[in-house]
Amino acid sequence: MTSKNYRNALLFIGLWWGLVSAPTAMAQPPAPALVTLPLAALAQGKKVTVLQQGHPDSDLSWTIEPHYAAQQAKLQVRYLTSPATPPGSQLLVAMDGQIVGAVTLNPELPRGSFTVLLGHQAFAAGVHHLVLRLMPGPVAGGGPAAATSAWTQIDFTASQLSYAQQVIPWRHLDFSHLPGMLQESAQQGSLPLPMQFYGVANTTLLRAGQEAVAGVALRSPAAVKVDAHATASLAGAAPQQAANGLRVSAALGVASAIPPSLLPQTPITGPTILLEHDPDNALGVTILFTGKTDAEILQAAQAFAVNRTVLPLGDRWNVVNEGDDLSDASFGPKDAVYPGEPITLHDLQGPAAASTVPHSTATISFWMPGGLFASRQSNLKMALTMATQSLQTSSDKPIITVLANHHWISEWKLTPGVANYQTTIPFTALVAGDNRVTFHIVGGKVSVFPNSTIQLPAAHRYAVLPDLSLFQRTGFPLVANGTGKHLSVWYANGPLSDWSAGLTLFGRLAQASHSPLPDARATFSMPTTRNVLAVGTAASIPAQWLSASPLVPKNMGIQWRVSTRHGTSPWLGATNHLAPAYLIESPTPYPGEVAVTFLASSEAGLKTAAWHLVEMPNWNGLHGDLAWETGSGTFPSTLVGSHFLYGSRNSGWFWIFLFSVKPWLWVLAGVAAVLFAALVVWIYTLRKKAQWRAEEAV
Amino acid sequence: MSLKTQASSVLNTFVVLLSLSALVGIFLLAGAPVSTTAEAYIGGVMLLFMIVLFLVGRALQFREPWVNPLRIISIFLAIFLTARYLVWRVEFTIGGYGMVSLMAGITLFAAEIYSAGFALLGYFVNVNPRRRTPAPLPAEEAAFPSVDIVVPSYNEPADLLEVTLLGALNIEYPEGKVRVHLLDDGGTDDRCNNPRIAEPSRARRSTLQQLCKNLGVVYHTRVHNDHAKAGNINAALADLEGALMVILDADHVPTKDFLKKTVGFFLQDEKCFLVQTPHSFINPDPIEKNLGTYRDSPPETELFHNVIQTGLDSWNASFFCGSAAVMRRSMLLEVGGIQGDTITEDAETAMILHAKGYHSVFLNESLSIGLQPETVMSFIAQRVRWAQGALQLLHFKNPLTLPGLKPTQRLAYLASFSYWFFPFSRMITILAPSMFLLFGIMVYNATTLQYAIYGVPYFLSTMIFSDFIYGKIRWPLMSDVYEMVQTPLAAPALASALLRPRKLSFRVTPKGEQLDRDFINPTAWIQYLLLTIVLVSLLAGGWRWLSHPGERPQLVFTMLWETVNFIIVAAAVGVTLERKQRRETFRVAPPHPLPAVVHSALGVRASVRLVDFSTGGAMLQLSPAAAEPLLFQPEQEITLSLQSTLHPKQIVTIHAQVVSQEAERMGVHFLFHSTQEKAELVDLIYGDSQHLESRLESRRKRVSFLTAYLYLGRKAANGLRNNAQHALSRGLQGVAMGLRSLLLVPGRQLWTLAFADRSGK
Repeated sequence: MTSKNYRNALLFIGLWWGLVSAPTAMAQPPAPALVTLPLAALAQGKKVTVLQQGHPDSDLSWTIEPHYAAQQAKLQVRYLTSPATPPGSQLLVAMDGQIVGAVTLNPELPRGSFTVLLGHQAFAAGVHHLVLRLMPGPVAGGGPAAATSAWTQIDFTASQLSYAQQVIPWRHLDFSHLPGMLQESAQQGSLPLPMQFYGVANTTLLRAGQEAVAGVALRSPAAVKVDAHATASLAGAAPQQAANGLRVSAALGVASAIPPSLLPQTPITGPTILLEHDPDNALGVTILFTGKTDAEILQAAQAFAVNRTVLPLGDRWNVVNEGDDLSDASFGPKDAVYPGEPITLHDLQGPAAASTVPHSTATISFWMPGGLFASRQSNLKMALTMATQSLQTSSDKPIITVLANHHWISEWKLTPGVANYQTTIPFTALVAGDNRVTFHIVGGKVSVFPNSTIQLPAAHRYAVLPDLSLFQRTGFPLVANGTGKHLSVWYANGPLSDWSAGLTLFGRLAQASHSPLPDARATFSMPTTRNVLAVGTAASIPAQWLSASPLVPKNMGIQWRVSTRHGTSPWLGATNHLAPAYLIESPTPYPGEVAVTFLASSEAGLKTAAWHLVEMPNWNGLHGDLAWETGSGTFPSTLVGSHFLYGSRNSGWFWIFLFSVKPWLWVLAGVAAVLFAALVVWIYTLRKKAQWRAEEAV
Repeated sequence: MSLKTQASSVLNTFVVLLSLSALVGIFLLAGAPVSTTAEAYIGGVMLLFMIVLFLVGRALQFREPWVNPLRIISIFLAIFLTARYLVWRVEFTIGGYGMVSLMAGITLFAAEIYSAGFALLGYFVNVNPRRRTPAPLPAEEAAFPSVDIVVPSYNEPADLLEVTLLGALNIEYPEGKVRVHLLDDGGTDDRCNNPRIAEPSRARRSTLQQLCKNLGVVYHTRVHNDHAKAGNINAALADLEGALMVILDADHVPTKDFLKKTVGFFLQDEKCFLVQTPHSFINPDPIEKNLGTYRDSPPETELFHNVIQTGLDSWNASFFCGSAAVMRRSMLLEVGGIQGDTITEDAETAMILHAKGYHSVFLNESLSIGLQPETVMSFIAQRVRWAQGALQLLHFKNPLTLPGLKPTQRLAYLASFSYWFFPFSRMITILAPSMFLLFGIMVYNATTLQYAIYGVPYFLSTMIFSDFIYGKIRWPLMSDVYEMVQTPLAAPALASALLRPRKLSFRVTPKGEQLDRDFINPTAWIQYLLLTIVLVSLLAGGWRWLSHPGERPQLVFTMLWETVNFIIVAAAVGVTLERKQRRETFRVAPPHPLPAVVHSALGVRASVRLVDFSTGGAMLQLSPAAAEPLLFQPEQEITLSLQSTLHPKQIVTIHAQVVSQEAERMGVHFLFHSTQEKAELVDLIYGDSQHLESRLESRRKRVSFLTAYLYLGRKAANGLRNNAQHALSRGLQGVAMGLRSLLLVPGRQLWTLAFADRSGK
């Protein structure tokens, strides 16, 4: 073989090896992470323990989460032994019933520390029992009294357990593990979600993708960053994964378009959701949404998004109920309160409400939709059943202080024992989005029974817009009705473009509105009805879409003005600098609706900009009507245009709302009415006086 | 009807309909459920607007015509704030704390509805007051109508009647065109034949007949005492010949120009049936006397007689008040004379005549001076009679349904009569805070902030409007004190009137009583009880502040409310100490001391000035030369020579006796040697309406809210202190006796006042 051939062979082998091993290399599990735990964490916060005759053992439970293994586990113990400790006394360490190490205690060197290897094997997921035992030595010439005075104190805060935590692939996939999987995949508040679409790109499939993203987003507090691909194979993509190697991905497509490696043995007969090992990542899982048609895929995705508490066993979910009427009650976020509907704490807080252990503080958290306007002095009504325990040292009745979102509301006395109470919280003390009602008890403790109810007053949908802070907290006005009935998502770049940005924003919107938005539509053409989440570039979104917006891309820059629906106001300024992305809330070109437009300077930057936008600091800081991306990936925001009132003008409540938000207008109306009445009566009195003068002149 | 008149009528109708629509619009607007913030804005702005209007009005000295639009705007601002408050009260502040709280809250709200409703009626009445000037008389005295001046009497002493009759005789009017009549119901045949009272009755009849003979007054009496004063007048009607009839109470002395200023209206308007003039008084009422407010503050009666009547006059609804009025006799005869279905025959008669389409006139010039009741009990008896009569009218001749009245007249009469429900409202507002402070019953479910937004503008708007319209003649809290004094006894009496409206009968208000010592009114125990309740409530409020911190938002304004209640009730307690009256007759002071010359029988002569005088005596200011040495000794008889006001350019001489001389001041007691002397003095005291007006004007002044509250607080404190001092001065025995009379007497008094059949006997 010549040297040239030899070189080519080596090259071929290297290439072959690279091709074969590349996916494997890419799927190599990351290096184990070193974990150090103080023993206090295993002892429910206990800081020290004293081992002595009668109480020679200290039992600790070490729990290793599923999907993890612990290697090279070491225990470092710091102790203090008493002078009366008999010579020969030992401190033993046992793990899962086996002694793994011991140290001899020397009363002349009372303070000490030792490290013991708990085992050469890897510790699997589960609960492991760690026991520290004092074995006193023989007592010379002393009696039992001498032995009882010996003790050894273990300092749990200074003692620690260290081990290398290794992520291991899931052995048994079960939908019940999904929340944990998502939690592990999330890093620093972000959850990467690769998403693969198989088959012909259409709006139904896109809607299914939206629901799939919503289903993931509502199961995790992290910001979901979707990396969507509509290519045939996943191999060409650069998969995102968490630093620990974990990854959850999604795939959607009709069964006939799905690669066989993803399909199960049993055929797909209807809407189906499968939980599978990620073929490209041993540590990852893929959620596969499939069916015989795109409609079935959508149905599967909607079921996944809506049903988040009652999940099937195993890794296969056959969605059997066709044509479910997704009423508000069925989809609704569990911690949401809607106007006029009483809700129990059990329904609000789930199993956490069932605790009957009394505390000196109790909290009720709930989420309230945006855009609610209630009549003056409306109240949130709370009918509470509480068990009150007085302090034994006091004969006074305990006093309860009620706070709502850190504002003092009321203070009253509690009756010891179980009693029913009714209290109210002014609607003005509540905010759109997350609310927190706290009860502080002085002189006792209470437990709030889960059958207690809270009820918002009747309210009307009115708001002063644009308000990106309201949008980021509740999704309003894009989401006024929890099903997303009046929402369209416009992917302006078309069916063959990258849908990542739109799906990412949809996921964030689902989180903000606490709803999977099953009735939200997806479209590639400019909408003419409904509220719209528009995602596109300066090239794909026509200028007419932003005719009512305060800001419009122009040439290579932007220009801004006072916002009017007809766009007749002159432009106040312009700049040639185009930020990477903009988020604009403005009225739609057609009347009565509102659009939130995400506009990037280029299609390539759309996805990254969306990912930056949904990150906590950026998303939580939104306000005004315009946010733009800076070079460092932050999104400052401000108000450029003018406010407008959102809500039905066909009701008298519009005027009530108008006067409520513009008090000076109300003053004007009232004073005008008074002056008009006074003028009319004054005219009457002038005529009367003239009549009197005529009478007196006779 | 001419085209012009038709067009004017249509335009008037249109303006009225537009006004009503605007009013409805304001009510609807006031009830709009805008946010609390917006309500705070509008409440604050409107209140500020009212204050500005008030300040502008004050700068303009509340003069016509500029004050008219300001007043009307203030009215509608107050209406808006009132409607807004009532809607808020109904929607948010009643109940929510159990059945007891609900019932208590509804009761309090009913009282507030009454107050607010009365305030709204008051705005209507006062929207366009009519200020008249006397109608001119014809140049020819022959064209003057003939007038009969009648003075009904029942049990008034002869010397009091003499003064009134002399005043009537002094009236300037063509001789032969006026006759004075005394209608004596105390000397009727029935009374003279009644063995129990025959002797005094006959003596009275004889005395008065002689008096009338001396004065040239026609004496009338009758056989029976049917229908009291109304019957007395009606019995004499047939004997009268004049076209007009002046009715004067026994203590109401007219000024000289009484007829000259009033008769012209009857010639100006052939449909005029009544010219009413204000009632003015020479002495303080018992509240002014016992609280010591007579010199400092305006008279209480002026609110009705000077302000409300002018408002009623604008709606042709000013009514007859029983005295100091002129009536057209033919119209009176048309309706059968003075009406007698109720015990307030005067208002009843006026209402009937209004219903027949006739016109009344109110001339806002004081042309007579009368006497206030001397004691609290007689004061209350008088007011209770008016109140019961008003309730009788609402029952038997309800102005809302009486045929013939115009809608505006109906509202005006309703406003006048509904005032007398105040005892029920007053009792509720006094006790309501105690329900919460003592028992924790939530009668008013609102925080201090909410009350500040809704309640304070309403409360202040009514006060500002009151100050705007009559701030000069009625100070804040004064009405409350007068009502509080009457309430404990008036409430059961009115309840009786409501239950048995036919069982009431006329009771003459005693006049000319004398008080020779201080004493505590027998009904004071009710005020003491209420004061105790209020005081204990205040203390309970302090305890509640400490032990119920969650109730502090409600406690703030409840305690303020109770503090105001305390001032009112304390003042009412102060009134219960009746102060002795040193003189039998009441002095007046001329605008400037009158020059006179004193002669003694020993030939001593001195120039003096009359500082004050009454029909009983006078205080003279001696010149320094005459003061030393003492020229005049007590009991020395003198004559006083001064310029006659009855006959200008003549000197009148009046006999008197020295009572005392100290330095430059000498007190004298008059010893009239002839009727003419007395007539001159009567004219000097009562004859000049301008002097009367200037005396009344000297008491009219505006004060700020704070000044008024502090003033009354001071008077209340003084009243409480005087009560306590009186009790201590009486010693323990005196207190025990006082308690006995307080506890035993009042029940009887209460029953008598409320339920006994009083036929004037």
